[in-house]
Amino acid sequence: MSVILSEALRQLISIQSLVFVNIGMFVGIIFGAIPGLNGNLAITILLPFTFMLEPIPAILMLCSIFFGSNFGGSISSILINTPGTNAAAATLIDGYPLCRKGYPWKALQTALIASTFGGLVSSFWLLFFAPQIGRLAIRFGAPEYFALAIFGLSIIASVSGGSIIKGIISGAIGVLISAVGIDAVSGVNRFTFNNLNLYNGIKMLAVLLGVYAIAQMISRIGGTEKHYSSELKQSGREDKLSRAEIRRCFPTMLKSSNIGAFIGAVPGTGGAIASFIAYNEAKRCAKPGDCFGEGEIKGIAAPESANNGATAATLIPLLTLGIPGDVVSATLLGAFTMQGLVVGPKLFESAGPTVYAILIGCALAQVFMFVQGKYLLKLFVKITRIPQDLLTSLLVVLCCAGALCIAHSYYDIYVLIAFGILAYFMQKIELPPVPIVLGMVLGPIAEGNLRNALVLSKGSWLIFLQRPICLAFIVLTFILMFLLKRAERKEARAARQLLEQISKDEVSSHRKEG
Amino acid sequence: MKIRLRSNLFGGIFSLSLGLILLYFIPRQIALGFDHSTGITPRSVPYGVAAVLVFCGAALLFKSLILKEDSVKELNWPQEKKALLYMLSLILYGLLVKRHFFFSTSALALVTLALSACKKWQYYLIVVGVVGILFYLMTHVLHFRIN
Repeated sequence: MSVILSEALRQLISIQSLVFVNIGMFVGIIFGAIPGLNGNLAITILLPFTFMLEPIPAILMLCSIFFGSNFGGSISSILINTPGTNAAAATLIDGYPLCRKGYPWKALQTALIASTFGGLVSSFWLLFFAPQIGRLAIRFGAPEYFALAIFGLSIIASVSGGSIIKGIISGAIGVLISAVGIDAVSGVNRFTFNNLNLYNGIKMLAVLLGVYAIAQMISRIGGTEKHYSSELKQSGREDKLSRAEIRRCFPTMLKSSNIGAFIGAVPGTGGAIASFIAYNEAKRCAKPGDCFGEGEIKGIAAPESANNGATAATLIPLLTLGIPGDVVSATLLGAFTMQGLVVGPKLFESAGPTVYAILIGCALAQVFMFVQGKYLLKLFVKITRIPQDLLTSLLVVLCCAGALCIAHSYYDIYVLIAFGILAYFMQKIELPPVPIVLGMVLGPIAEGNLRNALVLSKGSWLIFLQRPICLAFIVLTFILMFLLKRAERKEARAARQLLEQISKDEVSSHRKEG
Repeated sequence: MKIRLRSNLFGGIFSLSLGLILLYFIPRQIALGFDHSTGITPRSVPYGVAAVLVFCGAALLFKSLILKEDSVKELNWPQEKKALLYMLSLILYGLLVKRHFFFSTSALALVTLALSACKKWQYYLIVVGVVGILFYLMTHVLHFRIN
């Protein structure tokens, strides 16, 4: 083993590898930060250029794009309330309010530290637990995936803002959007209206851009969403993450990174689910004084640690089982194959030093992400100094170009416009946008696996109670719902007490004045 | 002029209407498929979604009309008028983008600046320049076939 590791280190530590890791990281952060572009697009574009490279720098560059884009996604979430990637959707719940309060630096630094921490934890999971986790993940069948998706959907309750009913409506709309197209199980068309474009379904990224970006641009034009830029200008010396705040976030980061790594290791899940589950967990464990939803730094640290925690771990099923866990892993699978590395249980035997060099390189890439993020943050904060009208106009252009880039199709621009307008009206009647994303991500997973599970059990629903992992997820869902309800009651009671206290104070101050 | 919007009432109407529209379209848009052995068909989830929408819509209407629990939002008509104008511009852009990406996207960017009451001519030049750069990158670097 030590021979393999020393050989791996020898192969890894080369100028070429280090340079290409940094190029990949830079490109990834930029692609993640621009709404409409994403890591997968960057990987796809750069994939042909990696043919001329050795396997280690080539694969590491592509992996670095993936890691960097996850951090980059948080930048636009925090600064412009538009998630650059699906995985950064949970970051905006607290990231944007903190930015609006005049602490963009603090929010970005929290995201950077949490992302680096999550990425490092994930890399260590990949390095040390890959074979063991692969063994556990291979036991996941359709019933377990269904239970996992239901567990994820229960999170709608905590991201619905004031009204759970409105959250459920938004979640149902998300599930409905994901149902459009050819049904994967039966091959039947659903809501395609004989339109060829609808046969492939509605692209999630186009919907995200519409719901988050275009709706916000319409609000800005209408004058209802303004002046955050001027608030940013007021950010001063106190807009800095202190050591005490890092210490306060540390337990959240540790827990969220491990949640992210575990979820990332399960194929078909990914950073988006991990970030919402981690956010929810952080909110559930909130201490008095934590203001989730209003710019709480733990609310940024949790999803960022989790989504970067899921990144390297996503490679676990890919490397150990040959199963790509998500779209990016599927693209990376192509990259591995092109470099002559056959992924699967025998990979560690056939190309041990190369694989270990890639695994150690993944951890090293996180360090470079921190270094680049530390210096690029200044540049990204400057984006918010751009005048509102110019920024709005540029963002609309980037969103339209981004939508066109998704599948080189004008149809995605129509989706972007339609959902932008729909989301604007939904904002007016206070229907929250976050559950739409949850519904879109988890709806197809839940549906497909429910049907597969029932085929396995010949129609018996008892299958969900007979499998231990599945049962554990169902019990966890009920526990989560119970704890959320209890936390909600506590919050309402605390708010009531606070209001009573304020009114008492006002009465006593009036008496004194009198 | 101010417009008062009751969020539970309008949310309820929206959800209920969407649910009923779905119930109308599901049998017309989704075939039953071949396998009925599990009891789950391609229509099951859409029917479930429709039921959730109808139930939640009815619950919001009940809260608004019977329990009188509602939050009222005041909308400013001149501001909303601008937003509506912008939505129309977006729809128009959707109709024109296929014909010429560069000109239609530039026009949308200029309309966005104009509706934001921007008076700096340099900004108008910047956005057209950015659209030009993007158009060049997409056609010459990414080799997209766009007009």
